[in-house]
Amino acid sequence: MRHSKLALIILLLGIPVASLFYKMQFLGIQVVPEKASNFWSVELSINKELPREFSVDYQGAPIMPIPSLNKYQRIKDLKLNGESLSVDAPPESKDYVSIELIEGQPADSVLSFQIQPRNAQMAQRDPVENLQRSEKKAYLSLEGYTADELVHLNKLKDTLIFPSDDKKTKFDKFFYYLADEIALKHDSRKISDVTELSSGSFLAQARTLVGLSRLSDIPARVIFGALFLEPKPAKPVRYTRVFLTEVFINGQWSPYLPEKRIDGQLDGDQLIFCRNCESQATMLENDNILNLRIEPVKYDPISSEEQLSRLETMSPFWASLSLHRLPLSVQAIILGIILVPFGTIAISFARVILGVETFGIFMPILLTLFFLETSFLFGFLFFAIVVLLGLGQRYVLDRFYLLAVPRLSILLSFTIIVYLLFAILCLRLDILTETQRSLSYFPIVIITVFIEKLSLSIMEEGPINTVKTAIGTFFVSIICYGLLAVSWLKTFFFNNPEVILFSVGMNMLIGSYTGFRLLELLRFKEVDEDNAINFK
Amino acid sequence: MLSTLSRLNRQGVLGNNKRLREYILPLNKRRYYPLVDSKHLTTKVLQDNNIPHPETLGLVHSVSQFKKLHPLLKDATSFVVKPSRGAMGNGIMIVEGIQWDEKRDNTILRTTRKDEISFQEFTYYLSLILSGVFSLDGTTDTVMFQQKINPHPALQNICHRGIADVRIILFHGFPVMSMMRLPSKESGGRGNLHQGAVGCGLRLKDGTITFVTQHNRRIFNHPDFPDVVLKDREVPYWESIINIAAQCGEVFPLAYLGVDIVVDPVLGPLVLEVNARPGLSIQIANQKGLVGPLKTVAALDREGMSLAEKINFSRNNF
Repeated sequence: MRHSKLALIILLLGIPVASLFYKMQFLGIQVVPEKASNFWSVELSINKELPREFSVDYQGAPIMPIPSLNKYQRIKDLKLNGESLSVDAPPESKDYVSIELIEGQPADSVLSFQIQPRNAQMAQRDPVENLQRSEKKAYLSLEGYTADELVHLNKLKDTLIFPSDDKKTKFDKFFYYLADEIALKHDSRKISDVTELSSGSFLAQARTLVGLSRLSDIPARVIFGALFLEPKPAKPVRYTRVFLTEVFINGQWSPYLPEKRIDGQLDGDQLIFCRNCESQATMLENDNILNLRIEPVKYDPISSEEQLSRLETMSPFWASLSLHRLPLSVQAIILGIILVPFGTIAISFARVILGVETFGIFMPILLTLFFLETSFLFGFLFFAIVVLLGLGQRYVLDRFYLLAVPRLSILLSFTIIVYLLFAILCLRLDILTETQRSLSYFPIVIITVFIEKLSLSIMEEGPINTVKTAIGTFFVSIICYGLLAVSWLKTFFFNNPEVILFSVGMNMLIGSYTGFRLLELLRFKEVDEDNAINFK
Repeated sequence: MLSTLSRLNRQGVLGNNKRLREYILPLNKRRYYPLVDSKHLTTKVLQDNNIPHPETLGLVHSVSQFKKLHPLLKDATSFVVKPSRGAMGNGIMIVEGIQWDEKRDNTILRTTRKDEISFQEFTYYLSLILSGVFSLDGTTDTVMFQQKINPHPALQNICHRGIADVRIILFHGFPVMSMMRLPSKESGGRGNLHQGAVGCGLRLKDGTITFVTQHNRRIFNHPDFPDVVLKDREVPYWESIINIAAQCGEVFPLAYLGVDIVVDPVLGPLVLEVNARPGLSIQIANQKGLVGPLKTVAALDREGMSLAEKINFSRNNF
């Protein structure tokens, strides 16, 4: 019996996990489908007042780097100074370079656009085969380096490589030296800092790697972009501006960033703004000159149609079982109740493990549904008022010696009257207008049942015990509310209803617990073995 | 917290989850619950087996029977009104006197809760019971009129209003723990421990008080009678009480049960109620856990043991 129960629990917990794993790994189905509008909002602005030291370095008007479209990126709402720029269809260009420089833009220009960093599947580019002569010359040029810098670079190069090494080996040695030995330090901006102090900024490290490559006859360039550290929604925005090195080896350009161990392949976490930008690099590095702001755009759940058509292509079997097939009205009801089994885990936990007393077993989940139906603030306020009124009128009705059923019916009428008054009051005060629309018959039934239980409890158990139980009921329903209000969970359960088995397994597990309830430790605290010894 | 947990485990304190999972659910068969949940079925079992219990004056099943109240109760000067399916003493009203009037509405009753109530108030209360307000599962109920038990003089001066009762927990017919519940002002004359009644642990051997508790905490005297020493006070008729309790263990087909017994000065010990899910506060009143005695009984070779042998074993071992 014990073994069969254990096997059943493992099965109930294992089936949903296995199913999710299978869907994700083998069918490539997202367990929480996201709408394709997972965009990041990016805003670039160049400060009008260029500091003197940069204005000397910089020749001509400030340059606004615009990421050009390529087939691996999607950009929308591209605006320059509030005016839309046309977004062309992805060019079939073989060149991976994604920068178009608009020269002569006014210095206070603001560029904004939205981009999908995660969806940008940066596949391996088509090989370029050979660089044009002029290009090769530009990418091998050491003009941007001072004589002093070249001395440092040459010295470093000689210690790292043998002249007999092939180009790839040479570059790998440079890359791993920087990756292993050089620490990231944002105020170490010189090449000498990298070679002598073993620390450097992203730009100093990129210039070092480009310099070392060019000295070894490897075409290389500095690229500027942003690195999303945690490009997830609902998390604080974390990104950093970076300078990477791109080198041309074996007929193709490959990006490298020693600090983040990016070696040859970019993923969606990198947004490239401009390539071959050494001349503007110091300006791009400075936050006072180039201001960069990146924020995630809200996630939207996917529409049923969209998800169904996705599923059809991935797995017709799962598509045939999908709840997305149901009519939208039925889907809305299912979305309302799909998390109830999950909420029961919280109830079981609160009662069996914590030992919290509640009015009945399912009153907390009913209250949770009440809060969800009405919104928490509306629900809570209405609940408090109705409970007070319900208790008051209960004492009034007691004087008339009415039988139980008619009394409950009167209570229901009172509740509806208060509900209507409360709705009108909210409208008059122009508050909670959103919840106004969500008034439905369901909460009234819940609240009436609750009042009946509450008033009986006051009569039978006295006010103190009733308040204790009421607090317990609130406590559990608020925990359930916290769980059930998570829209992500709702989408997850809706798309993977087999997870309900998990809650059955969890309830079986909790139901098998025979240890003390947490509150029993307080209750039995006084049972003392010393007393027991005296007793014998 | 962990130290409390390990102390309670060492002490063999039985928690609610273990009580349900290891004793009540597997050992008390659901089909026998009505025998103890319905007081008039309990009375029938007790009657059939000649176990002393308060006499039932009558039953009322519907509002239409209210007109028969006068012939039913006219000879009783005092009686107890009970919901047949009530739990934890809920819904019990003790009527101490009744003045019948020709006009029914002028009839006045004297109760322990309110001094005087009108006949209208009385029948309203009965209708509440019938509608299931006090029943275990909220379904419609039956009103029981029972003979009123008078407090024994030895216990009268330690009870506020109501009557003291002795709760004995039986396991496979063996008494394993016992306590006495004394009504207090706070509990409104009722014996419910969670409403503030005083719980006294009793030695199974001789029925003397060991520890006194209220609200799960140890105290030394009844809060309403601070001058009365409770420790070592003896419960009258202990031999009979433990005997009657053990008899209940034989006639009710439940392995784990609680028997509530009251002592009337004239009638002696009477079984008031039998409970299939007796509470756990008895452990606090006795300052010891139930797990030890329960395990001892479970491990015993109980086959062929007589009632007297079971009682003797319990009195000598628990």
